[in-house]
Amino acid sequence: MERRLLFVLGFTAAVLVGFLLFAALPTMTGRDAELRMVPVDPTDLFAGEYMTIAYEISTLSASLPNDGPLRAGETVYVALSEGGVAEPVGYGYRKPAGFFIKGTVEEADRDGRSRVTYGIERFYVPERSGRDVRIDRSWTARVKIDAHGNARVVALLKDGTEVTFSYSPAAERR
Amino acid sequence: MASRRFVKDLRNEVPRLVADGLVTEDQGARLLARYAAQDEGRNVASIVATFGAILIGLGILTLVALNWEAIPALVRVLLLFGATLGAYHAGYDLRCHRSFPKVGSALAFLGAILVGVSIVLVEQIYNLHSSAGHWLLLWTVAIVPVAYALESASILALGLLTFAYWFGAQFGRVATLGAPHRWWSDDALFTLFSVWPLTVAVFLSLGILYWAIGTLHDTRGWSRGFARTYRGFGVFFLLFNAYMLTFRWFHGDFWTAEEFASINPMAFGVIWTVATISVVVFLTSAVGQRDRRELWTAIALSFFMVLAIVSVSFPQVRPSDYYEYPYGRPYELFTPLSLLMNVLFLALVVGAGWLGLARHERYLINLAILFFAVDVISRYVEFFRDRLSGGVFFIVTGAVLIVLAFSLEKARRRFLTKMEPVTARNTAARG
Repeated sequence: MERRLLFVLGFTAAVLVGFLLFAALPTMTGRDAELRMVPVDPTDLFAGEYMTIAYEISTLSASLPNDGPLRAGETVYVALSEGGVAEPVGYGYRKPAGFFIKGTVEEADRDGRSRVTYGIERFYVPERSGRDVRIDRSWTARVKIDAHGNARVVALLKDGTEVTFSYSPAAERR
Repeated sequence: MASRRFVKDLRNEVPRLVADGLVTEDQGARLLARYAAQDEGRNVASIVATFGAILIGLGILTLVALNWEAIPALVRVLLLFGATLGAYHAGYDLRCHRSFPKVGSALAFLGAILVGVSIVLVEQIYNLHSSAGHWLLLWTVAIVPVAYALESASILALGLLTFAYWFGAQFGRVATLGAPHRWWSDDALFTLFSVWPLTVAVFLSLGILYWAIGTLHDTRGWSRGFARTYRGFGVFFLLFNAYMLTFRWFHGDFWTAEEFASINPMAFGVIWTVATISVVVFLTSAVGQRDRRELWTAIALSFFMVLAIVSVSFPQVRPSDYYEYPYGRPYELFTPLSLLMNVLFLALVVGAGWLGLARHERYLINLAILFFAVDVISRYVEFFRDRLSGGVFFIVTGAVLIVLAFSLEKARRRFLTKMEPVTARNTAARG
């Protein structure tokens, strides 16, 4: 095969497989955690239907042990409790010992409350199947978190049971 | 119809015939014009094939967007990755080995679209989310080297668009970090609207950077074909954002003092960094050109860019307690700054038209005339909308538009006709 074609195919395959590994690695090597959630529900032009999720740990309060005030745009590490639904037990700019998740500060209020995202704020569902879902405190998300704090959401749970989403045309007509 | 090989051979042969004195320069140009026109028919094939590629890409994107649970995730990934590589392979094969260059290019372009669709699919399977739109940067990184390897201007154009989108999203995110008036959006690109004057400045600088990179390609033999793609995007970004600056609203009244103070200072850092890179690349590439017009263009555009950035960096702010235009001030059609920007915008339009004529580049003339028309209409509406009653305004506007369209089309044809023989001669010289 010619060199140019080899480069095109090899380079493209490397980028795509590399991205696939980046996306998949935390789900293969990470530890399970359950996070309590709160949702909204938009539609993305490029990616079909998904639920946009906010977690309880999406808002951090200054009352938690911390390294100092957070600034918008910075990376933050949030230490989590182990066992049951994970709760934040502290945060800071340095990786803590134990179980933690990595996030980015989106907004930091003067009163010490900060909005943080973790890259797990989106959950894709089959077409139209997420429209009538109403999230309350009985909903949690099962996430995998790797040793560096990178997280991927793998399932949504209601009262501890995994929820499956599927589109039913009959239900849509009703 | 003459075969493609014949036209190619003719393009090689005519300059030699002219050099040997067997045909005159004009005869050579007319010969090329005659057969090149037949070759144009193949451009239709190119356009049709490219549209086909876009439709297939959009179709697959829609299927992926449905999050089709009937197919296991791994199979979806394998199918899409395979289709991407297959499209590249088939495109290359058709273009280089089977004499179907247009269809081959369209298939390669389809491959570049499918790279983006594949990235979206992986994001979907693993519920990945980055509000900053980093998937667009990955898409850019994955396709621009391929554009160079395959010498495909359409893939490059896609790469320039995805990069501009990603860059805009980053800028919006940085500029509005911590700003209380930020327009909330899940997609960082839309935060650009809350810092619009700065967005105009940064995209104007990006336009000049694209133009400068185009000029850089003009000096290198291996990628001269890309110069036009870079310049086309560059001129469009430049003229569009310069046009935005002709509105008085962009220089005053956009911000309250509190809003302006809440902008992240890093936003200005980003603007000046892009501007500095643009000037350095532009001057470096222009100095290497034999044509001195490039250097003067680089100097003039650099001054304009600096002026535009300064103009949005020191705005006239509106009082916080006024919400109705003109915010407690007397109505003014122009401020001194917006008047200056109008004059400079017209100079840019004339400059682009002149450069188009001098360099025999059709798209420059078309863009110059398009933006001139848009500017005239904008100023007309600004001036007359409150001075004429509704019905009269529409009748007069309609008449003005028809006259304007007629005269501009006439001017455009005159310019293009003037260019034709010289373009044909240049084509012949380039072979």
